[in-house]
Parts: sequence; C-alpha cells; structure tokens
Amino acid sequence: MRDDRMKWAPAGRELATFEGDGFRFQCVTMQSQALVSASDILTRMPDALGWPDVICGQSYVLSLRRDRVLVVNGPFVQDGWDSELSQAVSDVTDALTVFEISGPNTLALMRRGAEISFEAPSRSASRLLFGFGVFAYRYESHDTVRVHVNHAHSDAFAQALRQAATRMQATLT
Amino acid sequence: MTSYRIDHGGLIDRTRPLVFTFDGRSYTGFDGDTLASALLANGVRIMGRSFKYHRPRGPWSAWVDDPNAIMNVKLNGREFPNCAATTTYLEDGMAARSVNAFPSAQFDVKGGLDLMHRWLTAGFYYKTFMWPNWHLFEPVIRKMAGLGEISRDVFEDYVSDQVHDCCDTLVIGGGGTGLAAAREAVETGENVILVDDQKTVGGGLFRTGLIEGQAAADWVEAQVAAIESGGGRVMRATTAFGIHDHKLVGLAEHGKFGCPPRLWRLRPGRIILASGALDRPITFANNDRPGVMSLDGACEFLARYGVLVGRNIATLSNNSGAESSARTLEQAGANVVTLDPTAGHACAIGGKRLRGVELNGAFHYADTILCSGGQTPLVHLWRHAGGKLDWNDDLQAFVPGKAPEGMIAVGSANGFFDLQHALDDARAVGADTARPNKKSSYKLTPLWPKPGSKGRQWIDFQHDVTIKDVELAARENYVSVEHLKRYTTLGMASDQGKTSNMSGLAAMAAVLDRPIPEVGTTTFRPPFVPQPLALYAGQRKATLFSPLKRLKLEPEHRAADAALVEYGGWLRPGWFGSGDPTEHIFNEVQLVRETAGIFDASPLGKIEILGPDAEAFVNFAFYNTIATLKPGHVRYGFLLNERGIVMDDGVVARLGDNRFVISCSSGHVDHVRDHLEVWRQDCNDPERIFVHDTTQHWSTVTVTGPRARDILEKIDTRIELAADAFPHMTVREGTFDGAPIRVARVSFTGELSFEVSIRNTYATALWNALLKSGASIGAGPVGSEAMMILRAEKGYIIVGKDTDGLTMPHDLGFTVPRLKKKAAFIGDRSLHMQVGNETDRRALVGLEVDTGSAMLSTGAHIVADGSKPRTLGYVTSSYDSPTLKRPIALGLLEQGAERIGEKITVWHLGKTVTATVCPPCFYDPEGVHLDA
Repeated sequence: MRDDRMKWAPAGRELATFEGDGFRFQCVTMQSQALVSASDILTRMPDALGWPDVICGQSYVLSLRRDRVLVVNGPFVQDGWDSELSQAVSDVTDALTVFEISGPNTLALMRRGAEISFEAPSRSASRLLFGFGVFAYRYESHDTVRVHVNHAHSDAFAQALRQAATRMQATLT
Repeated sequence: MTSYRIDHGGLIDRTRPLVFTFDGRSYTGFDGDTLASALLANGVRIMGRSFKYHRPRGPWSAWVDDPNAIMNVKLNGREFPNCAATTTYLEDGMAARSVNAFPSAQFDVKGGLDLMHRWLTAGFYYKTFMWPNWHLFEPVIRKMAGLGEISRDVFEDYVSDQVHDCCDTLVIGGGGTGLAAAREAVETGENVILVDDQKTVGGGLFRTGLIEGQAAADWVEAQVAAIESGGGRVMRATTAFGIHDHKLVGLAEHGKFGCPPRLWRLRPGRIILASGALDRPITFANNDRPGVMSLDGACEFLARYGVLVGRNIATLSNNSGAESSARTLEQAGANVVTLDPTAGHACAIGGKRLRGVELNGAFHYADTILCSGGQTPLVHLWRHAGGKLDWNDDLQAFVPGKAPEGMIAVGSANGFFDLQHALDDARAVGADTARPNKKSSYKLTPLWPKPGSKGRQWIDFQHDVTIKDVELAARENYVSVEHLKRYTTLGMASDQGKTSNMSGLAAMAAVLDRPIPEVGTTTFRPPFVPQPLALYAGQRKATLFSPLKRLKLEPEHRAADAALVEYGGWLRPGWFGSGDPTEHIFNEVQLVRETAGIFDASPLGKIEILGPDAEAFVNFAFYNTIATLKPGHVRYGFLLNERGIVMDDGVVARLGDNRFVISCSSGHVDHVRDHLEVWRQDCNDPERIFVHDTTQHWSTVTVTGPRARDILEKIDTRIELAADAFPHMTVREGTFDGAPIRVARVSFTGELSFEVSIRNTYATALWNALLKSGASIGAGPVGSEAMMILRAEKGYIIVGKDTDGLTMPHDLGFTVPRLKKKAAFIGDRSLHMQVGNETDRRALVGLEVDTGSAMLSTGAHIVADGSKPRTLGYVTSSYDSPTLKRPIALGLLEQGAERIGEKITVWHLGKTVTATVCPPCFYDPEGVHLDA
C-alpha cells in the first residue's frame, strides 16, 4: 500500500506528438474499430491486410489471425453473434490506441522493439513490439506505419518509443 | 624499463598524445593505444595481482584472452570496475587503478598470502571453514574476495540501445579469412555483415609481412573498401558474444569509454565463423611471473601499438609458427634466444623482474619470456550454436567438427594456420563453392603440463590454479572437467578459461593417463567476453520494466487527490486524499456502509464469449452451472484449472442466447482470456465459439451503498432501477448521453451495488455525472483499499490472496457443482481424486481475535499446540474493520468448516496470540443489504 502517484507520469502525457531524427510519431483517432471473428472470415474478406502491406483509404480491414480481422472505420455492424453470417462482432474502438510513425527512419525505430523487416512478410498484422501485443501495418506510404496498441498500455508504449528514439539518436561517442 | 615504444610502426596516432594515470602515477600514451599497451610503452609491467595469492601479474596477451591486467577505470567522474586493460582503448584523462591490490599492483600488502600457499590449495576453504560454522568466516572471506569495486554512483543514462537486424551472411572476425570470406559473399550479391571486436579490422594480419603482394594495412583497406562498396557492412569494435537458438547472434557494439554498448540481436541466414585462434601458454615452473607472455601477444603489441615488450627475449615454442614471430621481434630491436621447451624442465628465474629462464639446468639470460604452446581455435561461438568439436592430433587442439545448421568455420578458428591456405578456403566458403583441400605446413610437437614435475606451475593465472591443484582434485576424485572446474575454480576467472582450459584438461588427462579428448571440455556459454548487464536490460527498467495498465479515468483521479497504487498490474486509486491513508480508507468504508461510494472498477474483465456453442462452452469453463442462466441474468462462479484449483472467480452475464460476458478479476484478465482461448480450441468446436476480450474498450464505475439507487436515478440511463424490476444478479442495457451502457447489479461490498460500464470515450462524463449526483447526498469516490476491507467484512475472497495453489472450490464452501453438476467442466476429474477428498484440506474461515487484541498479521501461521508445533493454515487477509469496530481476518485452515467456534493459536515472528474460528462472513450474513 504505497502511494506511487509520483512514480508514474500522469496518463496521457507520453501521447503527445514526438519528432526525432527521420521519424515522427503521433496518435491518430479512428472512427471505429471492430473485431470480427468467423471461421471463413479471411475468405469473405480477402482484402484483409497484414505486414508489410501498404494500406490506402479511410476504411480497411486488418488480418489478425485465420479467423479474426479488425475492421477499421468500417460501416456500423451490430455487436454480438450474427447467426446469418456465423460471425462474432465486438466494438473495440476505445480499446485500441492508434499511433502513426512516419519518416525514413520509421523501420529503424521499430527495430528497437521487434525483429521486423519489410522482407519478412506476415499474413497477420499482429506482432510484439517493445513487448506489447500490437497490430502494425504500413499506411498510405512505404515509410508510414500505424500501430494499434491496447489502450491501457498506450502510455507505456509511447514511453518505450520515446526512449528508443532517444537511444537511437544517441551515438556511442 | 624492459618494455618500450619503438619509434615507428603500429596503428596508433603518434600526433595525438593522451595523458592518463595508473595507480596514481601519470603516464602518456597515444590515440589507438589500449591501457595495457600504453603502460607497457611506459615500462610498466605489473598491472595487477592474482586473485588468491596476490602474486604480481603482467599482461599475458594483447587482447581478450588476457586474464591478468584487470583495472577499475575512471573517466569524467564515472568509474567502471574490472575493465580489461588489453581491450580498453586509452582516452585522455583516464584514471586506472589495479584491482585486488593495496596500495598498488607494484606493492600489495596482501602479497604475503603467497607465503601460505601450501595451506591454501584447491578447496581449502571447503575443508577449513566448515567448523564451527561457515558463516562465522564468511564476512572476512567475502571482504577479501572479489576484484574491482563497483561504483556507488547510479548512472541513470547508462542505458543500452537495442536493435534487431538481419542479413544473409554474418562473418564473425575481421582477420584475413573473415575479410576474404565477406568480400566473396558480397560479390555474389549477398547482404553481408562483418563484425570485429577491434576498432581496426585486420586481426593478426598486421603481425605478418606482405599479404598477396600487398602490405597488411593496404590489403585490409582494399578488402574493407570492396565489402562496403558492394553494400556490405563492416561493424568495428563489435563483439559477437553469443549465439542462441535459431541463429540469433548477440552483438555488443562498443563506443567511447563510459558509453553503454549497443546490443544487436542479429538473425543471419548463415554464419561464417572466422574468430581466429589463441596462443596457448606453456606450463613450467614460475610461468606466472610478470614478463612471461604469449608470443602472439607480444607480436600484436608490436604490430598494433609499436611496443616492444622486452629487450632480451627468450622464446619457448613447440610449433612452426614461432620462427617468423621471433624474427619479427628481432628486427624490431630485441635480442632473441629461441629455446625448445620440449627438451626438458624449464623454470623462469626472477620475481617481479625476470632475470632469465633455466632449461634443462642451463641458464639463459632474458628479461622477457615469450611462450607459444600451440594454437587453440576460438570455438566458443561454434559451441554456443551447438556445433561439435573434433580432436585434431596433429594440431593438438579441438577443432570444429559437425557443424550447426547454417554455420561454417574458416581460418584459424577451423584449424587452418597457413595464411594462404586459410584465405583460399575462406573465399570458397564466402562464394559458397567447393573448398580446396590442401595440406597444412604447420607443425607442432605435443607439449602439455607434466604432473609431478618440479616447481609451482600455473595453469589459471588469475585464479592461481596450479598443476598441483589439478593433481589434488584428481586425488579427491574430482576427475570430471566440470567438477575440476568448480573444485579448483580453474577457468572461472574473468577470461573464462581462454588461457587455462586446455592446459587444465590436458593436466587432468595426464594425471588420469587418458587421452585429452576423453577428458573433454567444459561447457561453452555466452557471453564470450563479459558484458555489462545494461546491455541485456536496455530500456526495460524503472516504469518500463513491467509497465502498469492505466485507467481512462486517471486524470480525474489525480485531480481528486487520489493515491495511486498498483493492483494486479493496474495503477488504481488506493484511496482519495493526502496524509494518513488509514483515516481516508476508514472514512471511505463508512461512506459505503452509510451512504454510497463511487468506485472505478474499469479493470474488471469484459471477455465476451460469442457463438452457438457459447452456452456450452461457458458451462464447460466454469465450475458452476451456467447453462441455466437466462439472458439478462448474472451468476457468480469459479474458473478452475485442470488440477481443480481455483484459478479465478467472477461473474458471468448473459446478454443473449449466444452472447456472454465474463467479468473476471482485474489482475487475471489476460490469463483468463488465454485460458479460454486454449480450451476453445482444444475440447470444443472453435468454429462455433469466439472469445473477444473487450476489457479495455470499457470503463466501469461502481456505485455501491444503501443510497446507490438514489445516485443512479439522478442520471438518465433509460433503465428501470427499482428492486423488483432490476433485482440483484441481473444485468440491463441502457444509454447515457446517447452512448450504450451496461449496468449489472452485482456487489463486492455486501451493499446494494450497480456496476455501470460505458465505452471509454464517455467514461469521464459518466464519472463526473455520478460524482455530482452522489455529492448531493454526501457520497463520494472510494479507492481499492476501502473495497478490500468492505469485501473482507462480507467474507468475499480475492483469488490469489485468500486462495493458494492448492485451493479447490469446495474449500471455499462451494460444494454443490462438485457433487451434482452433470456436464463436464474443467477440473472436474481432479476434484474427485484423492487429493480433493482429503479430510484435512484447508478451508476458508473467519478469524476473530479476543476483545482488545490487535489485528492478526497477514501470513501468520495457525499452529497446532503441542510439543512439535505444526502449521494448520495461515491468515490470508486481516483488517481493522471500521464497520464492526474490531479486527477481522480470513484464513485457510485445515478442517476449517468443522472448527467453527474453536480457539486456535496464531504464530507470527516468534509471538503467539489466540483467535476464534468463525464463519467468513462478518457483515450482513442474511444479505439484507445486498438484496435491497
């Protein structure tokens, strides 16, 4: 029973836009995010994208695993079980904070937190980044990456990004 | 001065002098020097003391295999312990001091310990300090042990950068073969990284004359240029310190002194090991004297730093490679006498200053003795990767045998000691073509330690292990090399046996009269050379070590002066208000009991189970029967593991025929979700059940207390809140401010409670509305500490606190499903095994102390009386109850249910008190408040 309010920086402080040497990261707001699960979901949504696909447009679908996608900014779908389509839908708009990292050093920054490269593709956008389970994909350009992080860890993720950026910019001299 | 700097040669920058101190005396070196080379250039030979006998030590070699010159080094106010002088590049202003020596390495007051060497043999303290008690001697021995002193300063910014990377081919070692292999690989179009642990690549090439018609420096420069222009990367001052599973290579990239090294986690397609070989020591009497050095090391000091290690040199070598080295030293200005150590008994003559060497009774004047007992390929990384070793009788060395997948050894590391042969082979490997098959011209006469020979003969220079220690270990039956290592500490010095292991195992082989390969080697483990722990830790420290989850409502809580405490991986309000927490917590408890409290319960799980088989699955996952739960209703239950142990508890809400929400404990959400995912796929049809963890989409605000309904009624939820319309253990869906909300009538306090869940976006508005509504009747926010007391008063458990790894549901009073539930459920079988039927199982009970007694300590043992006390259970939760105005406690007690009313003894830290066993529910056992 120890008051740790001073140990932890106030939530939200780390989320401010940060610019480093060759990259920039900021939070972006999604209109909606919905988990959709069904055994044939990837057949029904063949455009669901993974890594390192470059996504364009406002509304898109991420492939998370063989029976699950994340529909971003999609049309409204009622939460619950859809018997007709045999699919489960849950709104997770507020569960995931979305970061956008852009600039020529984006991949170098991400490599501080994951074994990741454009040459190693994955059908899924899910991966571990700085120890956090995230969904990552390229958005509208080859050097812009969006990362969806669990809301409760968004501060810690941003802190990890900032510290990695600081370390990356520091030379060994 | 025996050693000195010659006026030409070396890779140092003679236009950049650097000033430094060693043991308080000032010296000058040059940019490009190491501490060791700079000291040798100044005629300083004694740079340390041995670990046990405090014998004077000079450097044995010029790079990572030196076990002797270990120093504390300070620069710019920062001091680092145990820096190897042979690998620490000199910087201006460095202050080095010898370790394990006082006042200096030159004169060490503990040097007298050497006089007692007859009594300080291997394992002496295992035998000597057993009686009366090791701990009596331990403080003094620990004070004497150890090398450098760690700085008490904390360098907050000493944090290593950590990077992941990959390539087609990684070449480890920037000597001739490494460069040749890398160049060939680059020219075949591969993405190549070459790493070398020195600032200047080239390995031992600078010791040789012309290479393929070019001067060494020119040849190296040409290879590097070709590699880099072809797109390859050359990483200097970068050590490959370990190879782990799936070819994950750990690289430590070093910068200026005091900068944390950068960790590269590299995943190459293939690895070409060109790590070279080390010159082995020769074991002879007094071979540890300062001035007895490696022949290769001496040539390296000359080639890289322009330092001649002696003026009158005697070389002792058993191999064909020594001849050219002796000539090189001669050409640099030394008088060199070449001796054959296989001819008979050798002995170094002299103390701190060498006077010569005696061979077969003949004295040879020398101030320096350079030894070469044969080359030992550096196979550490090969072994890390799982490669096998073969014994090569011609080379008298272990060389790479069966290769691990994707790895190949070239050059000296592979036992190829002829340069041109090695270069041709490396090029073939680099280009992935057939390797040439050539005969080596390298010749060697076997020369190993001879047990029983005269004089003190050192095998491990740093740890003072002599051949007599090996003989003693063998006599005491420590004949396995792993036992030998641990008994004598051979190979456990900071160089990890790079110089000592081969001699040590050869000595054991000789003692046992067995071939060396039968004795075998010890296990090679990362790191190849010591690395700072900061390299491994990276930025995962402080708040990033195990980052807590953060509440959406945290800004509101901070504004309300909440004390934030970690509970189950979340940072949550413990109580509201500064100053003495006890008073605030008691007030919050009373607020809930008398009016109402408003509590942020957002971390509670909201794991949705959806699909046509959702009902059967939840029924299967829970101990309690869920199949009969109607939509709109909520049921409390336990999740068990396969062993029938209570894994978590929580409530299940049924939102529809095919949709359930499991509200599990805050700290167990991730585990419960994974548990459900596993069972969904294992024993069920995964196409008909889906698990969606929506916990972090929602915030949950609990309004609890007799006036809870009044508070909720003041905000528009579109839900009928009357008791008969919205009874206990039901759930309703409504709206707040246009946003959907879910309200559950469940209680963790024993009072009328409403858990209101809303998506995070609207959480602040809801929280503020409820606070405003509550304020009008005197209600306010409450924290987790108050909830702890409230639930304990009611006898509600916290899984993991009031249960342990043995607790089954019937221990908590929930017996019916075990006896009557017909459908299969996780843990069912285990509940009926013998362990589940033991009559002395520990059950949940309440504990009341005698009037006026203090509260029990959590964790205190409940003990059986008698001459031999035995633990019957322990206190799991204990509080001063503001409601009951007396202490209350919960505990797990053997046969607890049958002991109600019994007096028991509670022991804690040597003190005993008595308490009375009672039912665990202290407050409102009839549930009048709950059902209000």
